[in-house]
Amino acid sequence: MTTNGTLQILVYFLLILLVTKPLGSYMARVFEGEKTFMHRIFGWIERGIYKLLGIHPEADMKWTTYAFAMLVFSGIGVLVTYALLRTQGMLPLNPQHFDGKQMPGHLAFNTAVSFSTNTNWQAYSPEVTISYFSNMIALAIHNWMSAAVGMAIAIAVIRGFSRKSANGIGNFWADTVRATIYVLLPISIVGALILVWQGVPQNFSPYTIVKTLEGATQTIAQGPVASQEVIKMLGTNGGGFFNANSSHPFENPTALANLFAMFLIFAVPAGLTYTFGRMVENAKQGWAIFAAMSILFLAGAFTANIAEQAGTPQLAKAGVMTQRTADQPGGNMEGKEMRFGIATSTLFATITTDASCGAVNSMHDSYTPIGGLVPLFNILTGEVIFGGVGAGLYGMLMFAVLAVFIAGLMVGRTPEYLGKKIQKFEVQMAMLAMLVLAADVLVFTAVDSIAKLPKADTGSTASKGAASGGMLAGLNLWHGSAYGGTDTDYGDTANNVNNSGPHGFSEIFYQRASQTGNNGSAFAGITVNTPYYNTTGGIVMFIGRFLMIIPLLAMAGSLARKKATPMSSGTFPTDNPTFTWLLVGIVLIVGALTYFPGLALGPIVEHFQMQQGVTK
Amino acid sequence: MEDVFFVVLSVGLFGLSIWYVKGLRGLEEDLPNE
Repeated sequence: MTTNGTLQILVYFLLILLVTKPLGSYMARVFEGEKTFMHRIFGWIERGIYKLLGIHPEADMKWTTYAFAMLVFSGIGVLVTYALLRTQGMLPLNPQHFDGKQMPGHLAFNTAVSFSTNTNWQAYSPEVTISYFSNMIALAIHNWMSAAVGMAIAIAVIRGFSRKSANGIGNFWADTVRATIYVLLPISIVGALILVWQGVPQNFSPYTIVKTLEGATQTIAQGPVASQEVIKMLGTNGGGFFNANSSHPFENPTALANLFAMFLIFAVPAGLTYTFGRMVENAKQGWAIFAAMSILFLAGAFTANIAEQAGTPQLAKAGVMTQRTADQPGGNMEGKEMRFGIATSTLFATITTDASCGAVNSMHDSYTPIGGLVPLFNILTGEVIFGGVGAGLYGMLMFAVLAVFIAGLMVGRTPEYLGKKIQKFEVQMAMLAMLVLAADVLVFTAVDSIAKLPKADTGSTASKGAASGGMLAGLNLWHGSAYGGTDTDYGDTANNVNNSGPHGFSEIFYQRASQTGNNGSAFAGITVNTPYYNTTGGIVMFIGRFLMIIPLLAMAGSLARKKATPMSSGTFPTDNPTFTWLLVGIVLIVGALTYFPGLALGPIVEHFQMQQGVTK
Repeated sequence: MEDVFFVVLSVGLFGLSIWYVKGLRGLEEDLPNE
């Protein structure tokens, strides 16, 4: 661990600590319908939307209506996005003339679900696939909408705890509009200008073709990057304008831009913990949640940094300088930008997987086994370590319900949280939400590891001579020719990985974890732009988002109807360090029990193999 | 044909989710709070 690494983590954490209360307090006022200084600037937009769409913001919704509104809103978003992506060849702002050839139906389905679920998993290289119009209208709008939906759901779940004997949990349309206009919009405007100041491009120019010093020809992709970059981070979306994501100098040009990007990822999720405390009228409840998230974040950040700074025996044996010196970073620099080094790369990797962001400034596939285990485990916790905008908080509240239930079992008392009795239905819903995620990750990982798919006879080199396999033939075919490469039919689904053994398994496992957790980051090392992976990936992301949210809304609806039970000497306090540590323990134990076999087959066995000198 | 398949799949997934909402609502009614 270097001094630089320690300072990077601590300075970053201090910045997040400083923004939590003011931003959280502001968001509480926004969602409780109070007037803020932003209402003078943007209030007319809110009123105009209500008038145009006939929304009555004061109309309270039952949880079923709230869920129905969310599903209809997201469903229309998926269908419209699918249509826009498929017809991008006929739409404006397309100087590179991309069309449906680069965006086949399975990829359009995967991308539409991906962006509407806040995952932003990208099975394609944006520079050779997506027009400016598709980027700005079909995709970037989802960066706003999916983030706003996540915040709305979190606020609805908070109302479940804060309201007493109430039938409703708020108004979905009002919550979504307020999240967009008063939280995401003002920060994005200022943030985009800061990124432009740091050197991020914002234009509609065609790609620039230049001659390099060696005489070669280079195509320099560009476009409206800053406006997408800011919401990509603030909304914990993560989908990059370029394939290299935040390691690309146009997305992340300077150290300050990098720090600002990391700050944007945690700002709203951290602020929402204070919003929670304020809305339940006990700020210490919010700080207890914040503290649990902070402990898990700091543990992950330091572990990843130490693992990467230590390097590997193989690197040392190959003569690579693994000790840090005045002019060498030391450790494992594979897959990392020299501009950022180990400290900022591992910090970014921890933050982006704690949150459901998925932006990357280094390649997680190149990390040491333990360094790579940290982002994978972060995602597998359900991304409750600050987490996605809204998603992190409602996920952690799910764990909080389980924590008070388990604590109640241990001491023989009726579990209560914030004065609400936690009974059979609430525990069932919390467990259902958690089990949906676990099943989604594990079942699809298992299928990917063993599924046998016949190759199609496409005439390509890779599939020449393959027998026809009926309807399943060609389901794992990558149409590389549409992107300037050659077609490859992988056949069996485990063939898509670049590595064999435990590392190859980690590539599959990480992919499904990232999709389920709506993270979107790629471990890399696996080609997924095939009909099989795109279609199943869309389904996995859908399950990970909506089948988790619905039981939590049901839990919120049930809690909102309950009366508050007065505090007594028998009440288990949930605003102190004991509860914080209990919550940390529950997150770790549930994560470990559920996913340990998978982690053992992947990064853990790879770590021991590395120590033994086994490289395959 | 390809587009029809993915539109039907998308609508089907959201349709199943609405059915899921109704299922949990039924469970909630069957299990009144004590």
